[in-house]
Amino acid sequence: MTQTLAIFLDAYRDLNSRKLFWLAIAISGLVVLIVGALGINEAGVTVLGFQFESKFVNTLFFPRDTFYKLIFQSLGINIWLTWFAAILALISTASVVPELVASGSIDMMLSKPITRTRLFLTRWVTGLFFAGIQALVFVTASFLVIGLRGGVWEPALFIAVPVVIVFFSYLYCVCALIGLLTRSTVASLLLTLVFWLLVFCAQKAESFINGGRIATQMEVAAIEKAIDVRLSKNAEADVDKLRAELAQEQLSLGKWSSAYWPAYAIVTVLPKTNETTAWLERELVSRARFRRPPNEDENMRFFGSNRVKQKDFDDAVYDDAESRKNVWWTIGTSVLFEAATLGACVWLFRRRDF
Amino acid sequence: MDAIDLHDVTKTYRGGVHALRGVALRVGAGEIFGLLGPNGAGKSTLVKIMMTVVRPTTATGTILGQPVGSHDVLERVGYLPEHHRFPAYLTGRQVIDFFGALCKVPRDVRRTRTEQLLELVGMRDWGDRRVTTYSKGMQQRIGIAAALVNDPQLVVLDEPTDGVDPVGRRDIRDVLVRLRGEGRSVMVNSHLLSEVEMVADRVAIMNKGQVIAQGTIDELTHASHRYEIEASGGPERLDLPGGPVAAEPPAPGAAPGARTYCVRTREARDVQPAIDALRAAGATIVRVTPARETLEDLFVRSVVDERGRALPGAAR
Repeated sequence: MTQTLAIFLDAYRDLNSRKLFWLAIAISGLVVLIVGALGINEAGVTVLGFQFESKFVNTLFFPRDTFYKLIFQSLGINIWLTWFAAILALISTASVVPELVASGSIDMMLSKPITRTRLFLTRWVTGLFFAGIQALVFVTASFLVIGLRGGVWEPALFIAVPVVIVFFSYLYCVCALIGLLTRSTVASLLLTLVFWLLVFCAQKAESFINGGRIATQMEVAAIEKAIDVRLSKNAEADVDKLRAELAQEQLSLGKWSSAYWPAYAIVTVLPKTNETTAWLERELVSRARFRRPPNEDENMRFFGSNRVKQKDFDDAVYDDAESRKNVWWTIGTSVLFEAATLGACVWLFRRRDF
Repeated sequence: MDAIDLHDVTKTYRGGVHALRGVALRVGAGEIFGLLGPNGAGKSTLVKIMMTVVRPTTATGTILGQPVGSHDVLERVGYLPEHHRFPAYLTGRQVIDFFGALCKVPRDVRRTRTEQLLELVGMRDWGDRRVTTYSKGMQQRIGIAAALVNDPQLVVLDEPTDGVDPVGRRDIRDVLVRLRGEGRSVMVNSHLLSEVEMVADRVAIMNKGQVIAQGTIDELTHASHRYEIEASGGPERLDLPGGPVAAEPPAPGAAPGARTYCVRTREARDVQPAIDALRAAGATIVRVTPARETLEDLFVRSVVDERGRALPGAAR
């Protein structure tokens, strides 16, 4: 315990000495302060008491708490915590493993009565400190703003803190592995960002193909329903054109499905950054009465569907994600990836001569 | 019980570099032991194997009675690596405290020890400054303090006087002697042979991954013990009962016209016949000096080939 506490205290001192740590915390606080400076009333929006009239953004359309929750959802989670804060955390902590294994430093550490596995894993966990503290500061400030300005206290907001730490840990295990292999902070930072980009693209591709698959499924169902309606009215009705359309859509569905499952398999074995954020949003919808996010792809028209309404499509995508992309698939398989990556790190760290 | 008792320590790095080739080494309890050798001889690899920083290819033996590679024994060992690097954000006091905590030293003990050690290494006034503001010598002093924070029975110091000024070197020697006086074993890996010679009870000389000589300095230089007689007006050669002794070229600083005669013995009585013979020959004896090989002479003789070139260290 003495050793673990010492390593954590050392990590705190390390973070404390970095200007970037305090800068990130300050920016987090500033972002929330700016949100807190915004207000909403029946006439529109206020900024520091100055009224800006709006026909669409007012309490007739948005209850006060919904206004702040929407900002937290769209700005806080989707932009700040999952992009800016994560990148700042990576920049700040990318050096932890390269500095641990640097010549002169590693000799001092390994010559102490602590096993290599414990030393590496404890140092790695301290790297999550940054993301954790940042998320905690941001969420606490948001909780206060939604409570004080929105009039609703939502403790469920704090679920974002562990989820953001888990999200960051997917990337940080890759960062640690690259840092261990290259002993370079710059290489580990850049290659982790490249990895993140690849994972992001893979998830977007899976999401796109899934959208096409669902849209086509709905199209097929709509055509089948149209045929049934016609035939129920007149058994002799001419439905050949619809049947031809149905055959074409079924063919298309087969193609979407055959493309989808390999994409799904690839995403399953990778850490799911986008999906984790989406899962967090779904949790906030159910736990903290957040609004369902619209389907950001808005690819309905792109897929050429004529019979399915946009809202039905959005709901179908949301329901599909809720039923199939549950916590076990989203976070469980990502943590498995993380465990495998950390296992590789520990194996390398235990075997290496320094 | 010996502090260190190693046998058959070998290390072959990837690529087939044999850093160590069956090293056997013994460091007694309560002694200062000097580990010497040219660059690449395998000294640092040997020390790193003892400290579990490098995994040996083969190794048997014990450190403080525990098998080589045991983590538990490290609680009782202090180590200062050659090119150590402390976290830039720590002060000297925090460095000592941090490494004490890693050695599982309780907090209140660490606090007391830190003060004592800062005093011991002459860094009390600098303890609250960041290590980045320290000179090389000051970093060495803090490193030594950090190596002693767990009250170790065995202290292993790799080039402890590197970058330290003469006064600082004397202070460090005093610390080593004090540690020995407290019954601790000290292993010093150094290039400064005169430093080692001043304090070491025993030394080992390594070359090409092997220990080529090991023992007390007296044992290792036994064959070189002699008396040098400087006399003026003596003959070219002295015929003594033990064999003839030829006059050698005058040593630097010798009196004009004086000759030097070397009698290879460590007993004063064995020199008397030579003195008698010189007096009988009418020579004036200027001085009689007992002499032996220095550690540097021994080292150079061990690691330099016939043509005066340094022998290479680790070899494929």
